[in-house]
Amino acid sequence: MSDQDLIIRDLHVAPAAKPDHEILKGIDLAVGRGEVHAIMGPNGSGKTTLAYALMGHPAYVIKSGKVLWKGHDLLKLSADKRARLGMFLAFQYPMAIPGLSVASFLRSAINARRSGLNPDPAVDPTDAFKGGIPMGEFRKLVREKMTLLKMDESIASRYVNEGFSGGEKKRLEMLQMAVLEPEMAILDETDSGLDIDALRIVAEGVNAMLNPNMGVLVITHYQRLLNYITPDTVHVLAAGRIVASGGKDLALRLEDEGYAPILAEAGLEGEVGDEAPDGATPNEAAAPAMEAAH
Amino acid sequence: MTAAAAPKPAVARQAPSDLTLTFADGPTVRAVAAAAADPEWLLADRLAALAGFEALPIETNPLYTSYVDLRNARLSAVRPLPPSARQAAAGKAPLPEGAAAYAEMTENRVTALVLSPEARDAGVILETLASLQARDPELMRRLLEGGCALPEHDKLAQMTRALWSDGLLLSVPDGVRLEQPIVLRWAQGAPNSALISRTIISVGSDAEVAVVEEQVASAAVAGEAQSFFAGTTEVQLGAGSTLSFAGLQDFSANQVAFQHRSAVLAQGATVRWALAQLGCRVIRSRIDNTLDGNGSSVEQAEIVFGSADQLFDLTSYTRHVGRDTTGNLLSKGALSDRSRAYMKGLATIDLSAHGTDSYLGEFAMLLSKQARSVAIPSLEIDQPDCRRVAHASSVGPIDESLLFYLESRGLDPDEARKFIVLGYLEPVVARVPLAAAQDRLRDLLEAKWAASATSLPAAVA
Repeated sequence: MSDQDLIIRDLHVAPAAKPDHEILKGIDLAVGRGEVHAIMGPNGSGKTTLAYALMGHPAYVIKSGKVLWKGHDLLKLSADKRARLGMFLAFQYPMAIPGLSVASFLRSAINARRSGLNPDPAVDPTDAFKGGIPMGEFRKLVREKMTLLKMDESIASRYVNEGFSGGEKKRLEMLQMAVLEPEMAILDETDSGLDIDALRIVAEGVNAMLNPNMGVLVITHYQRLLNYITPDTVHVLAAGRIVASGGKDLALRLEDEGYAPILAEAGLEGEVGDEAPDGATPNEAAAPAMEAAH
Repeated sequence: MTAAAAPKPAVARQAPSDLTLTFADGPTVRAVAAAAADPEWLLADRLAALAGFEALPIETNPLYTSYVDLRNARLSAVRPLPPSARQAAAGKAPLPEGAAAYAEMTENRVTALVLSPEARDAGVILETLASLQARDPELMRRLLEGGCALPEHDKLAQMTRALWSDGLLLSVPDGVRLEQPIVLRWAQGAPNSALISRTIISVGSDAEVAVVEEQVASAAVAGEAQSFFAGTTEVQLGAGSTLSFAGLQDFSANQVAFQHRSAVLAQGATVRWALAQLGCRVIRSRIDNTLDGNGSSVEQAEIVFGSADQLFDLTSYTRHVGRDTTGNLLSKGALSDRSRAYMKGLATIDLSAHGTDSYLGEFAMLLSKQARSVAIPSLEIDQPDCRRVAHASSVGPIDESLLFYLESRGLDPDEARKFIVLGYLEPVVARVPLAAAQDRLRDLLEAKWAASATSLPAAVA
C-alpha cells in the first residue's frame, strides 16, 4: 500500500437529515493507481452513498472512519478541493444547469483541475478571459475527446444537461472525465439509462481512458457493464458493509445466482434495503423545482 | 431611554400604500399642459386621467393588495422637470454600432435623435411627441386620446397619463422589416427631480422591428435624495407584425420608477419582451398584453437581480381574446441581501379565446436569509377549449445538489453559485437583440454579482 492509494477505513456514513440512521456501517477498501474495482450490490445497499461520501456531498455526514488519498485526509477537504486533487464522480443523475454552456463549464472545470489545491489568483475559472487553458488548446482537447465518445460537437453550445436525453447526460459525464484526466474516478451507475450501443461506446471510452495513474471505482447493479470494463476486484456491498470480495468470477456468479446466496453466506437475509426508498438520492427530491424554472 | 439620548428626527410615518408625491394635482397638470402648449383635447385627457388617479386605490386587484410597499419611495420633495429642450446637437449624435436609430433623453434634454439612412428611407419615424404634435396633430390625437392601451384602473398609469411632459413615437410602416435594432435610452437621476414620459410604438402590418430600451442613472445622481421616473411603452402591433423589445433597467439606488408597458396585438402579431430589472430603490412595473387578433402571441421573459434593500414589484396581465393565441410568460428573480421581489401575474382567457395556449411561470432564487420573494401566478379561464393553460412558481434557496455538481468539478462554492445564478438569468440576456447591449447586460450582472457576493455571509446559500 502506498499513500497514492485511496484507502477507506471503517467508514460510517448517515444522511444529514437523519444522522442516527447509518447507511454505511463500516467500509474498508483500498484502491490503488491503475486498478479497477467494481462495487455491486442490491438496491438500497449504500452504493451511491459511498460515491457521494467520497466526493463530499453535503447531504451526508461522516459518523466515523477515515479516507486517505495522496497524503491527504480526504474527508477534511471540500468537494471542490477533492476534485482539484484529481477525484472525479460520474453522477448517476447528472444535474441540469440552465444558462451555463457545456463549453464554459468544461473550460472552468479544466482550469480548476489544472490549478490544483493552490489556485493561481490570476486565473478565474469562471472567466474565459482571465488566464487558464488557451482557447485553441481547449478546442482541440474537447474535439478529440468528443470523437472518442462519438459525440456531436453541437453539444458544446447547449446548456449543461438541459433537455439532454439519459444517454446524452451519461456521455457528457464521460466527456468531463476525459478532459479532466482524474487520478481517481468513481462511476456511479454509468450504465443505467444507456442502450446497448451507447453502453458499448461509453465503456470503450472508459477503457481508452484507463491508465496506470488512475484508480477506478465502478458502481453498478448489473454485471453487464463489467463485460466491457474488466475489474481487477469485485466487491459486494450489502446493508452498508462489504460482504464479499473477489475477482471477476464473483460478478459472474452474482449474474447467475442473484444476491441471495452471497447475502445468506454473510448472514444478511432480509436485511438489505434499509436505505431511502428505491435508492432515491437526495438530489432527485430537490431537482424538479429548479429544473422547471426555465 | 436615558436622558442623554438624542431625540430622533421626526420622520413622518408612511404606510405601505402611501404615495408621497405632492405634485399630482390640477394646478401641476395645467402647468404641464400650458408649458407644452397642449391642444384642448390633450388637457381634457390629462384631467380625465387625474380624476382617475385621485379616485383609484394604489392596487385594485384584491389578490395583490397586501403586496404593495412604497415605504422606501420618499418622494415628497420631488418636483417634475419642465418639458424637454431639444439639444441642437441631438441630430448629429453618433448612431450606436449596429443600430438603425437612436434616441436618448438625459434628464429632460433630448441628447440624441438619429436614424440611419436606411431606416429613414424605409419610412421609419422616431421623433418626440412634441414634434409629432407639430407635424401631425390628428395622428397625435388618434394615438394618445383616451389613454390608448394604458390600464384604466391603474392609479399610477393614470398619473403618468395626466402628468407626462416628454415622449417618443416610433413608427414602423407596413411591410418594413428592420434588421438592425432601434435603441432608446433614458438617463435620469438628478436629486428630487421627476421625469414622466410616454413612448408610443406603432408597428405596421407585416412589419418587424427590434427595440433595445436602456434606463440608466445619469451623471447627475448625487447624495441621498431620490429621483423619480415614470414611463410607458405603448405598443400597437398590426397584423402579422413582430416586435422584439429588450428593456434593461439599471437606474441608481436612489431612484424610484414606475413602468407601464402595454401591447395590443392584431391577427398573427408577435411581441417578445425580454426585460431585465437591476436598479432602483423601488421599482413598480406593470405589463398588459392584449391578444386581440387570432393567432397572436406574446413571449415574455423578465429577470430581476436584487441587492441591498431594493424592492421589485412586478405585475403582468395577459388577456387572450382571439382564437389560437399563445402566451409564454416567465419571470425569474435572484435576490441577495435584504432585497425583495413581488412577482404577480394574471392570464385571462376570454370566452372567445378558443385554442389558447397560455403559460405563466414565476420563480425566485433567494441568495441570502434576509431576501424575500412572493410569486402569485393566477389564471382566469372563461373558455375551457384550450390547448394548454398552466402556471408554475417556486421560491427557494439555490439548490444544494446543483452546487455540489459544480463543486465536484473543482469549482469553489462562490464560483459555483455565480455560474448557477448568472446561468439562471441568462435566458433573458440571450434574447437581447443587440450584441453590445447583450454584453453590457452580462457585464452589469457580473458586476452586481461581484458586489453582492462580497456582502454575502459564507454560511448562507
